[in-house]
Amino acid sequence: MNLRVEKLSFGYGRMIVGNDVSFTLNAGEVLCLLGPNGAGKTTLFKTILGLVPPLGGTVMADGAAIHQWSRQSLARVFGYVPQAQLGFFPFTIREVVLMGRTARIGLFGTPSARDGEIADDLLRLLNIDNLADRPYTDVSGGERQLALIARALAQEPQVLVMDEPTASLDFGNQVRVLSEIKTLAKRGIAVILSTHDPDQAFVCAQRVAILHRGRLAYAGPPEDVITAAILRAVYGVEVEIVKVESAVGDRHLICLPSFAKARSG
Amino acid sequence: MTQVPDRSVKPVARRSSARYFALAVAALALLLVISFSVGRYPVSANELLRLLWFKVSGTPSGLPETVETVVFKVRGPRVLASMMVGGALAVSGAVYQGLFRNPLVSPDILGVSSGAALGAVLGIYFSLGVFGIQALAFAGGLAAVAAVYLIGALLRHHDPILTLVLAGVVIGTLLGSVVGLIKYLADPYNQLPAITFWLLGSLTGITAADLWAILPAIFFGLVPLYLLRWRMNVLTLGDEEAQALGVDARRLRLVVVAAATLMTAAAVSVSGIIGWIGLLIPHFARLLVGPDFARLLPAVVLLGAGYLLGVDTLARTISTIEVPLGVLTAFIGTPFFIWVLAVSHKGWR
Repeated sequence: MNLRVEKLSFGYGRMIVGNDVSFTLNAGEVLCLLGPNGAGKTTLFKTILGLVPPLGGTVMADGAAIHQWSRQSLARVFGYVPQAQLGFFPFTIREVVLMGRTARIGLFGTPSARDGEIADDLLRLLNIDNLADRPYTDVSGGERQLALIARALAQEPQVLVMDEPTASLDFGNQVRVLSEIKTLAKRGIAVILSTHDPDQAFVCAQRVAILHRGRLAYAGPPEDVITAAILRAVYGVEVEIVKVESAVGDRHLICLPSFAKARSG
Repeated sequence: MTQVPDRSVKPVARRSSARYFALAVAALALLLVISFSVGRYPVSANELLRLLWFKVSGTPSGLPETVETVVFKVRGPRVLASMMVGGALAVSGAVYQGLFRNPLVSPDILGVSSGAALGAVLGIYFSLGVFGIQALAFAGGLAAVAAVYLIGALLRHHDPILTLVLAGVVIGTLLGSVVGLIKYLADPYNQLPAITFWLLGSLTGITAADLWAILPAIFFGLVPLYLLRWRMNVLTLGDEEAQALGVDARRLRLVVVAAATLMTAAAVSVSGIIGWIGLLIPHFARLLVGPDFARLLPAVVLLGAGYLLGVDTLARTISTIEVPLGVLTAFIGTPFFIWVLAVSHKGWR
C-alpha cells in the first residue's frame, strides 16, 4: 500500500493546526514523525485516518482519495494506535484486542473462534497474554498501550498509524515495540509513528519528518534530518549526534543533549 | 512485563456467566409463582399449572371460574407487564449508559419520560380514556427524543454526545414545566389525582390488550440492540476510536437511540413513570457479567424483569392500598444503589 498525503491542511473548524503537509510512504517503510509538544502530530494522524475532516488537500491510498471510503474500508487498511487513555467500562484486555477485529466482522456479528485465535496470538506477541482476562481499566498505562498495539494489529492493517506508541512503556517494552515495528515493516506494512525520542528514529525509521510551526519543516533520511542544527531550531536545545558501536558491532547514532547550554535556551 | 504484579483485583466472573443465567431464570420463575400466590386472591402453583395445562390441552381444570379470571384477566397481565416494563427499562438504561459513557445515565436522559408524561397528562386533561392516554404518552416520548436528537444533529461542530445530553436536559425541563402548568389548570378533584397517580407509576388495571399493544414496540426495540451487541461494545470506546475500528458511530448511535426510545416509550405508556430501574439494574448486571453487551443484555432483561415483578408484587400486597411503584422503586433502589457502589471495584462496574 502506497500512502500519499498531498498539501494537507488540518485542524478543527476554523482553528488551523497545520498546513501544506505532503509526503509519501511506501509499503515496508517506517516514517518517524517528530515535533515539539502541541505541534499537531495527533491532529495530523487523525486527519490522515479520516477521524478529523481535512481542511484542505487529500490523502490517497494506492492513488485513490480516501475521503469517500466507508469506516469499515478505512479500518481494514489503517490500523490506529491512539495514545492510551483510561478505559471506561471494564472490558478485559482480550476483549479490547478483539475489538480490533470489528471491521472484519459482519454488522450483526460477534468475534468468531478464528478472531479469538488472532487475538490470543497477538497477546502472546506483545507479551501480555497473562493479562488477557484482566480488566483494561485496572492495568498500568504501559500495559494498556501494549493492548492498543495488539488491537491495531488485529485490524490486519496495511498502514499502521501509531501515536507515541512508546510513551508510557518501560525500557524493555520500548525495545520490544521498536523491534516489532521493524518486523512489521519487513512484512510490508507501512508504519507512521510519532515519538519524542529522536534516537528511536535512528533505530527503526527509514525516514523522519519534523512537524514544526504547522508545517513539515524537515523530511528525509534520519541522518539528514536529525542534526544538531535542526534539533536546535526545533526544540531550542544543544545536541551532539554521536556514532556509537557496541561490542557486537551494532552501529547506532544517538543524540547527546548538552545540559549546560539548554538552560540558557 | 513478564511478571505481573497482583493488584488483587476481584476477578470478574465471566466464565461462569452461564451459571448466573440459569440461576437468574430459576429465580425469576420462582418469583413468578410467588407473585401469583400472594394478593387478595391467592393462586397456588398447583392451580396455576393446572390452569395453564387447561389452556394448552383443553381439558377442564375443574377450578372455579374466579381463579381463571384472576389468572388470565387480572394478575397474569399485570405480572407479565411488570416483567416486560422492567426488562425494557433496564435494557434502555444499559444501552444509554454505554452510549453516553456515563454510568449515571438512565433512560430519561433524552427526555423520553418527560415527553411521555406530557402526552399522558394532556390525555388525562382532555379526558381521552385509557387508550388515548397511552397513545399520547407513547407519541410524546418519541417526539421528545426526536426533538432532542434533531437539536443535537443541527449543532454539529460540538461534541455530539455532550450536545445530546444537554439538549435532553433542557427539553426535559421544558416539558416538565408544561406538565406543571397542566397540573395547575387541571380539575383538582378528578384529573389531578389521576395525573399524580400516573406520574408515580402503576400497573394497576393493566389488561391483556395493553400487553399486545406494547409488545411489538418492545420487540422491535430489543432485536436490533441484540443484533448490534458487538458494535455497541466498540461504541463505548468513544466516537473516534470506534470509527478508527470501522464503526460508523453517528449512524449506529441513531439506531441505538431509536431502538431504546421505542422500548422506553412503550413501557412508560402503560406503566407511567417508574424511575431507578434503568439506572440501577445495568450497574448490578455489569457487576455480575461484565460490560460485554452479548452477556449484559440478557442479564439486564432478566434482572429488570425480576426486579419490577418483585417490586410490583410488594406494591399490591404490603398495604391495603396500592403503593405507587415510583415511590417503592426509589425506596428500594436508593440503598441498593449505594450498596452496589460500595461493592463495585472502581465505582462504575
